[in-house]
Amino acid sequence: MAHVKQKWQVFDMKKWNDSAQMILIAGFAIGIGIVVLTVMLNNIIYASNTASEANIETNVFDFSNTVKVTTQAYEKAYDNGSIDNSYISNYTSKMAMSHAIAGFIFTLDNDPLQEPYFTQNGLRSGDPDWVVVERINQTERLELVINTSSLGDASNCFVVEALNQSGSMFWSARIFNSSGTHYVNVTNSTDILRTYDIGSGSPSLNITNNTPINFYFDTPTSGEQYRIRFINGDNASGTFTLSGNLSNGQPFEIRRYHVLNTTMSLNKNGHLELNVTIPVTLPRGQL
Amino acid sequence: MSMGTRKGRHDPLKSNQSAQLHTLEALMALLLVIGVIIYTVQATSLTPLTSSTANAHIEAQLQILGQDMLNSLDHSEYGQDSPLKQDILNWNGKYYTWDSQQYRSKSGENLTNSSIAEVLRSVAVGRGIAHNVEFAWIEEGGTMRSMPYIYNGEPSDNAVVITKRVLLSDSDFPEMNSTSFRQNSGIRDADQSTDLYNLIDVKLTLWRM
Repeated sequence: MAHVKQKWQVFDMKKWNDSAQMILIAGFAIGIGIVVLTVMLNNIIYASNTASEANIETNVFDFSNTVKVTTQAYEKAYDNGSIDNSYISNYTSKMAMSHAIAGFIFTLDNDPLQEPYFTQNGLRSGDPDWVVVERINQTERLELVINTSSLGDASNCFVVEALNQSGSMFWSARIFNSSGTHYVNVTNSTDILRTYDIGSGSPSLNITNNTPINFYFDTPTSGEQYRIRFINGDNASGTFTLSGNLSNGQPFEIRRYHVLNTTMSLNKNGHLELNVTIPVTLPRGQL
Repeated sequence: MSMGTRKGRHDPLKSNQSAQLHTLEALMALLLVIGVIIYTVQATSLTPLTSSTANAHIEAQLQILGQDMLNSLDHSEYGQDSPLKQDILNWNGKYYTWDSQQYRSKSGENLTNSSIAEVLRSVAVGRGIAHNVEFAWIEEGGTMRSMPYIYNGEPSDNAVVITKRVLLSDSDFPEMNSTSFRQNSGIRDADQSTDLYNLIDVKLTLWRM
């Protein structure tokens, strides 16, 4: 019995030895597996970090620079109500050569000039309520030429207003169509100072020169720091000129007589990197 | 009985040997598991310390810094010419080198009234970032020509180049007279039949020494 017991014990120990070795081998396998997975994961993280850090997105700056330079080119090419096509053609050629060195194909095209609206970008679909100039110290010239056929009614009138530093309106000119007659209402913060029939067609309103009526603009704006805002600019089309000095002493000038859509594209390796159509107000329609 | 008992008597030495082997195996397994855990924890901190990762990170920083500098120089306020454009129009064709106090030409002339120099002095020089500024343009034959404006040596392999285009027109020059500018800088009027003068690429090169 003792001998049988011993043999059984020996057999049991051998079985436990095998199990221990199996466990050890399994431990080795798990350890090696964890190491391999960790190294692979580290390599993936490292490679992706290196790739993302090494490839800072600079194209957006190149594209904005291209748009800005092209806008300047159209402002320079604008002359007396028309575009100097030779200028644009030569400009396009120079830009194409400059971009070709970097592997880009540059193309530029534009639509005909059209009459602008008093929106922020000059198109009827542009932002109708916008601040034209801020921190004005003195306005030397504010003149509008309104196309009366585009005017809205009194409830959606086109408004030119001056606001003080706290944002309160202290002067405004409201231009609208009332049953076929076109009016301008000059107001202060509380009262209507003057109502005038501006006629039809394209009447000129020189606010600083008080032509054709007294617009009561000089007195309330004198010594004040203010901003000029357009409201419902999509309800009126026409041209305007605004110039003067800012509170920091710098002069400013905005002249908007036309607007045109220009389309520029940058193509690299058959892939369109930039394809944008932007409106350009001319000759200098925005600060 | 006694013989069987003596033969079947439990051998403590054999049992000790098995137990010791088991203990040794357990210790080895434990060491293995601990080693794996330590390696796993330490491995994640290894990659940022490699030199190639550090280089890519520095290049990215320089790229952003240079882009910000040129963006601020190219900003034009209230319809005026940008400081970058004014520096090009005022350029006398010489190149200047930083001598630890100011930018000086070969002939000893100091670079004054330059927004580019002011920005580089306050941003790049203070951080020990070496820099070059070049003006490049397309010649009549279609070749690109460049001239240095600020030159501080040959850039290293991990240098970054940031470019801005500036449009020059005849009307940008005083009284539309570009004669002295052309003679000093070598930048020709690319189109004498229109107001277009030329298109200048301003290239800013930054690198760490």
